[in-house]
Amino acid sequence: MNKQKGRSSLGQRRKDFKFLLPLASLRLTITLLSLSMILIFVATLEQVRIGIRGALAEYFESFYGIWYYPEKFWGGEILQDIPLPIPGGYLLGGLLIINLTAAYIVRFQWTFKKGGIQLIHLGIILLLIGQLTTQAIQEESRMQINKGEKSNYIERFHGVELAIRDVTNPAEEKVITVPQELLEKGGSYSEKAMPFTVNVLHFGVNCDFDFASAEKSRSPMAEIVNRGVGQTANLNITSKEEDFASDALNFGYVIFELLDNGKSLGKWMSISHPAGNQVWSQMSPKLSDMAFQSIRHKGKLWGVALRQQREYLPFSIELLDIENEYYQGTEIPFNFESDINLHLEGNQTRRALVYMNTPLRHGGKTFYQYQMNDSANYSVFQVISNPSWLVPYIACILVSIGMLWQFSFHLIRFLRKNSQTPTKA
Amino acid sequence: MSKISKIFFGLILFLGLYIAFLPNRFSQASFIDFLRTDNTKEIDQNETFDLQAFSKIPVLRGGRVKPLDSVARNILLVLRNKRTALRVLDKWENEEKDLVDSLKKVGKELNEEQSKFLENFSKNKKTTIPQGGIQVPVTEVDAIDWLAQVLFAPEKADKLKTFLIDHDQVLGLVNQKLLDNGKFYSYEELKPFLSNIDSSARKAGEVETELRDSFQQNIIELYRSLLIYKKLKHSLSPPNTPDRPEVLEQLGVTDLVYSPEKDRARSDEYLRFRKLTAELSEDSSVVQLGSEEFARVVFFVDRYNQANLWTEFLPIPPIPGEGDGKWMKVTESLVGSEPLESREKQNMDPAQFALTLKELLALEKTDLKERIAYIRENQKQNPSALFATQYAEAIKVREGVDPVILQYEDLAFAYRDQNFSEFNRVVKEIYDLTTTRAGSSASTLSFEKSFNGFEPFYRSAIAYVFIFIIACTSWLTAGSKRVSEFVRMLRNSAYYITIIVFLCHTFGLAARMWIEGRPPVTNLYSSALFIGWASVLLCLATEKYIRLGIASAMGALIGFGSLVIAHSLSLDSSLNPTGDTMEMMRAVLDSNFWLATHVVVVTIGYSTTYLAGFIGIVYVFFHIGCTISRKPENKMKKTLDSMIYGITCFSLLFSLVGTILGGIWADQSWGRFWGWDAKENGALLIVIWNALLLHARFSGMAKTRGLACIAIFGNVVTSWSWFGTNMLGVGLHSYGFMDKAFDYLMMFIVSQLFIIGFAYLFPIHWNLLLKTKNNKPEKSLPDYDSLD
Repeated sequence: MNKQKGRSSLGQRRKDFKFLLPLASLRLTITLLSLSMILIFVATLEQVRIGIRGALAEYFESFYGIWYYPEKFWGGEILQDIPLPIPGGYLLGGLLIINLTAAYIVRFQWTFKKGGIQLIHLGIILLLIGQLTTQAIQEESRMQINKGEKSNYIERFHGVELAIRDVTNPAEEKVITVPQELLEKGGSYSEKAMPFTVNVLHFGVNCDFDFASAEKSRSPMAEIVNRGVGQTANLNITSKEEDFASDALNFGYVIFELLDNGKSLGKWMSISHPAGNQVWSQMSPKLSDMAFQSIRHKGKLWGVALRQQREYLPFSIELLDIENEYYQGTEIPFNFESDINLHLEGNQTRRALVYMNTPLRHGGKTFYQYQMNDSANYSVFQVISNPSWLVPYIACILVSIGMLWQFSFHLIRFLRKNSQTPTKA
Repeated sequence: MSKISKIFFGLILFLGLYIAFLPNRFSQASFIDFLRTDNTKEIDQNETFDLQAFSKIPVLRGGRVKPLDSVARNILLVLRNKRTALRVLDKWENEEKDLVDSLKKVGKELNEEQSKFLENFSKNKKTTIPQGGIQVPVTEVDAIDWLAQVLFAPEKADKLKTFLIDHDQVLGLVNQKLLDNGKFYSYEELKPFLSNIDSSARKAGEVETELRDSFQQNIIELYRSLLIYKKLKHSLSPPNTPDRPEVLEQLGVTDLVYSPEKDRARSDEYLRFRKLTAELSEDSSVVQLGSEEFARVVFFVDRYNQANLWTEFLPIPPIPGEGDGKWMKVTESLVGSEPLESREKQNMDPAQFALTLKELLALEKTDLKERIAYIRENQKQNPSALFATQYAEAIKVREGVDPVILQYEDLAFAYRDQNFSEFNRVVKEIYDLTTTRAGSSASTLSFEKSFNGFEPFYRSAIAYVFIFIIACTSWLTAGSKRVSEFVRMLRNSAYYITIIVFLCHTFGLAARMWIEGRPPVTNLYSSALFIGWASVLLCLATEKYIRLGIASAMGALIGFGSLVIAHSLSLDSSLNPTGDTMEMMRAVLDSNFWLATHVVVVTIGYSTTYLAGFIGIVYVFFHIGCTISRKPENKMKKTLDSMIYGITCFSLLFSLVGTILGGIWADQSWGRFWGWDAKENGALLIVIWNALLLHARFSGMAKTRGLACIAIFGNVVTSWSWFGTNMLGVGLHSYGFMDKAFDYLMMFIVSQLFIIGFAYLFPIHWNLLLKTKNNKPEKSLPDYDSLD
């Protein structure tokens, strides 16, 4: 009876949504699956060349990518110049979602017996949607804390901002930030609370830098700098492409001029250290001011620095202790562990342990143990905010139920068949 | 069943049992060794060294407490790719052995001298290797025998052929030729070239790992092997630091350092050092730079810190209730270890160092320990204070000389003097003391030793070949009705032997799990073992219902293949630098829950995909056979079709569930469900490919042959995901760069593609060849439970 109803409803649906039939075809599914195989394979190969982030940007987070056959492979000399378009993740993912949804409407029987198949495919749709949204909105940041200290902000792994701080009265510090999008645009930027305009002359997401010397003069770009660390340390920089490798360090830089009513106050240079500007002082005493270049103007003290884009949190984390253990007589790490106090709003504190496979989830953010330096006594958390983190879990539950459903039917049928066999014989 | 069949059946089963469990010539131990409570063979304690008892003594190497037996085997595996060393026989030995053998052959009684010779002569076979252009007789030396020589009689061990060199250019560097002198060399033969090897390896080391050519890789491997060997030699007796006599004189330590002429053993020096430290801890006023007494202590602490670097395993178990429960090197037990790298000493403030040390020495022992721990925890940026803690520890916390050191020295004496009863007595003493002190971490020692000797995977591999032959024979003899009973017997026996061998394989996995305390798959090596195991299990289940010998044969093939792969993985120096396949897990992987779920399920997914692929291959050959013989392929075709379909359903289930579980683990560990890591992508490829196979079948786009070919390509996809992704050297899952395996992977992939091409092209060409036109179209399949 149920079955009858399901079948008849399918017929009705096929009539109603006739235009969906070609979109729901199994041939399309198979084509899309094959193309996904090619996409994933090529993107995996390309990780060697451009790193995981590069492959993500080129192939998975795009509608198509252009692939050149690697030179090192067989016949590479001849084949390497031919550009091959590869369908991207957004294209295939989107089409697969359409294909599956259409199949739901015009191909699946909505019967109890087929419920398992439907649940599995629903789970797959959710997984795809979840991954697409994650890819679009997930943000990755880091938080570094020294032992015994507190921190209430996180810094993005990728992305910088120019921070201009009024520190005349440390108790009432004011911060004005210029985000990366504006820096990229260039031009001038002014704000009421700021007595001068910032004129961005050069900006880049990565650079090489060294000290200029008698033999090696500064590049034209660096030469115009006449104030701050860039000038005192005689710093030379050259612009560089962004490095997408997973362990790459990208040093964002900016050269800007401050103007008070059209009168130049000078030209500064600032470089952001990807591991946080506090690292500058460890690199060289000459560079330590890079974290805070002071400017006196009209009786006020200002500090400017290009830094990794920050987000301040409504709570703070205090690092009480770190533990870094190795298997005896080896260099294989056995445990990384941070003992922390979570200081919440309203003077509440909570003790927590963050270690491998056990992150801290709070305020929509998840803190993972990322790096640790035992001798310098600091710990770094990777902080991820991904509002859609729950979606894959729901999808997994759906898929699991669907599989159990389907397999139970098969099992029952198999057992029935087997129990009938002896009587037959 | 007729009598002959019955006899055959019993015989085959017994042979299986013999290969899998009983004492045989493939391995040193059998299942009987596990049943014995004291699993050493009865030997005359006064006549020979009880090396079996010696091999059970626990030490720490690679982060794991293990018996010396494992240390010896693992190191030899790295040095020589075998678990034995080779000894070139002396001329008289060779002649005597030949004589004794010929006497035995004709059944003559041996005289006392001759029988004693035979007893002391290695139980291993005599073979020959080339040396100086001619073949010389050699015999294999068991791993533990080799280790005893390295530790106690290094001058003997240096003559044993221990190092494998098979690269022409590396051989050229040590002035040898493969044709003349073979590929096995002793330390003595390599000694004149050590500086050459050292400088070449250093140069090669400057090149990035991925860019090294084969010479550079091989020279680095040889360098590492020599380093391991040297460290091993000094693990129990630290090297003599070549200090110049005038320096010793100036410090006034000439009479204190060990002198081979005057002293019985090195412990004499340790005791003299202890006397020095005892004086200092009594009277800490002399602790200042420039004082003679203190300078001597500094000399010895430096000397022992140096020696700390020269050790391959940690022989001294922790003292219960004392210290931090850690195993120690010989010299570490005297002075502890440096809290910072030695070069940090440059940043030390001598005055502050002396002051801190004085303060520390003024404390009582218990307070001192607390204070040392406090400084090490809270003053990590202060080298002066940190180094002072080591001196304080060396002077006041550590007392006396550990009895284990003295016992090992006694053991060395007994060995050199050929004093069998003394050696065996001391071995027992050391074993008792070390196992008591090691506590629960030493609970699996005897078992591990027997497991090493049992070699379940080697036994299984041989047995799988046997099964494959039986199953294939059953196909060849099939056809005529007269032999059908014999065929059935063969298939049944293949099935039952598979059960026996499967038990052996299972035992091997379970034993590893017990020793490690971990789920079955922890690294690439164990994934190979497990893939074979899971495939065989699935084949058993299939063969139970479809007794055609197909599943047995394919299971045996995959089982054998995966065990061979596992063996070659254990030889790969980049994957397995210590030679121990039961290595420790990195922190992020150290989660038994996820290892037991994600890793196991994904690995089952691999093995089922392989199985479907191999059955696809069977179908292709069957298809071609039918084309040639022009027989219809109806029933068999349907069976194979449903086998591929059923197994792929399993594959999809396991690979999908495994991949999703991996995503959840990644979410827990790194904060993202999916990171497009190479290994993750590989797993996803398998999922998609299996899904593609099923959808191709549902849609009717692929018939049996298409299905078989899709399944065969699944082999390529799975191999890529299993190994190819590791060869890329990117991502979180990459375990090491293995370019040796790359060629094999390519060959496998090409072979699979060839079979697929064959499946499509051969029938066409065959029919063209016969110029026949009545090529029947394939019948469409009966309706399956499809989505449509």
